[in-house]
Amino acid sequence: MKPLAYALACSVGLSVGPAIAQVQGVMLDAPVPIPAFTLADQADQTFSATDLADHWTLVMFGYNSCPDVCPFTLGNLEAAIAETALRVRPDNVPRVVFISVDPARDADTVTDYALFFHPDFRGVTGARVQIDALIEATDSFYRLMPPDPSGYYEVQHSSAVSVIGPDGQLRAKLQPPFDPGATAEFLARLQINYRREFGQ
Amino acid sequence: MMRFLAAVIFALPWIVQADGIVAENAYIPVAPPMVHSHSAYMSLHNNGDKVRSLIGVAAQEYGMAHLHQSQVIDGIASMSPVAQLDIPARGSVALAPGGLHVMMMMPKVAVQAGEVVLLTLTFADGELMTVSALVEDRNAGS
Repeated sequence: MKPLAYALACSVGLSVGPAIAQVQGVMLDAPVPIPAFTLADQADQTFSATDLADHWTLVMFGYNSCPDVCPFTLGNLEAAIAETALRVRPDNVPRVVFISVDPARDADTVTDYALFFHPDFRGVTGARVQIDALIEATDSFYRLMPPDPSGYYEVQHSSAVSVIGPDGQLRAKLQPPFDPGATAEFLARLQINYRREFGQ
Repeated sequence: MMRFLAAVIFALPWIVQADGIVAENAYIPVAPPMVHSHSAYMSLHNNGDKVRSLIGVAAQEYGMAHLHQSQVIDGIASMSPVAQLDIPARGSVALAPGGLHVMMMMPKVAVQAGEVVLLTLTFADGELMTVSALVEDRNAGS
């Protein structure tokens, strides 16, 4: 993984007890443009870079047969979005996109999978080269592991969630455990910084 | 006293006690219907004076089950099988989302919220323990 220059942005003030605040995310010193890409949901509706414009997007990489981490993350994101909606204007509530890095198993079900966690979540996947373009741009990672005797294979993948701004650039990464309240605070602060940058 | 205990155990089916081991709040978050690998979670307490080692698990209505651990190392989430899980004397181990879990694969039937899945835990001393895991809605708040 190539290191990006991250500005540490700790979530302060929510933890009780010792003065150690859990890091909910990191804001990027310099935003990273997202290149052109084309993915699609299971009904062949495309999802491309133009779908990132003019609103906030949270992108999570995963795979449907992930028994523990992916459902846990999506469930927490659902709660974090609800918390964020209490703090920002309705048009600034981020849209959540689940990108399966396992199209061979998930292309026909990835949309239903994401909808299971929230009716507004999108689930998409696509050709390996298209997935990899987004993986690289967001400094993410995945690896399909060798199958076990039953044919099941695990997929290792980045745990972080990429935050893409209304300008279509990667602006921050969210990190586990995605505590809903602290994640919402982080996102609200990120949006304040963003508006300052644009002098709004 | 025993009758009282039996009544309590009967009334609280998610608390199961084997010889010195108590399994509490065993649950399975309901999974999307197209997903065929599920996770079960619980707390295991060892009330005895000796460490107890969990070495196997089976799940009714699943083709296979094993102990697994999710880990995030350098930002990468991966899973690894756990051959032996030690529960310290007078101690506890939590199987919880994002960490230790019972991974269950190849469900033979559709598993619905509100149902109970029977798990059989095997300990190194040969003891078997049956735990009822409740299939819960994701927002059930476990």
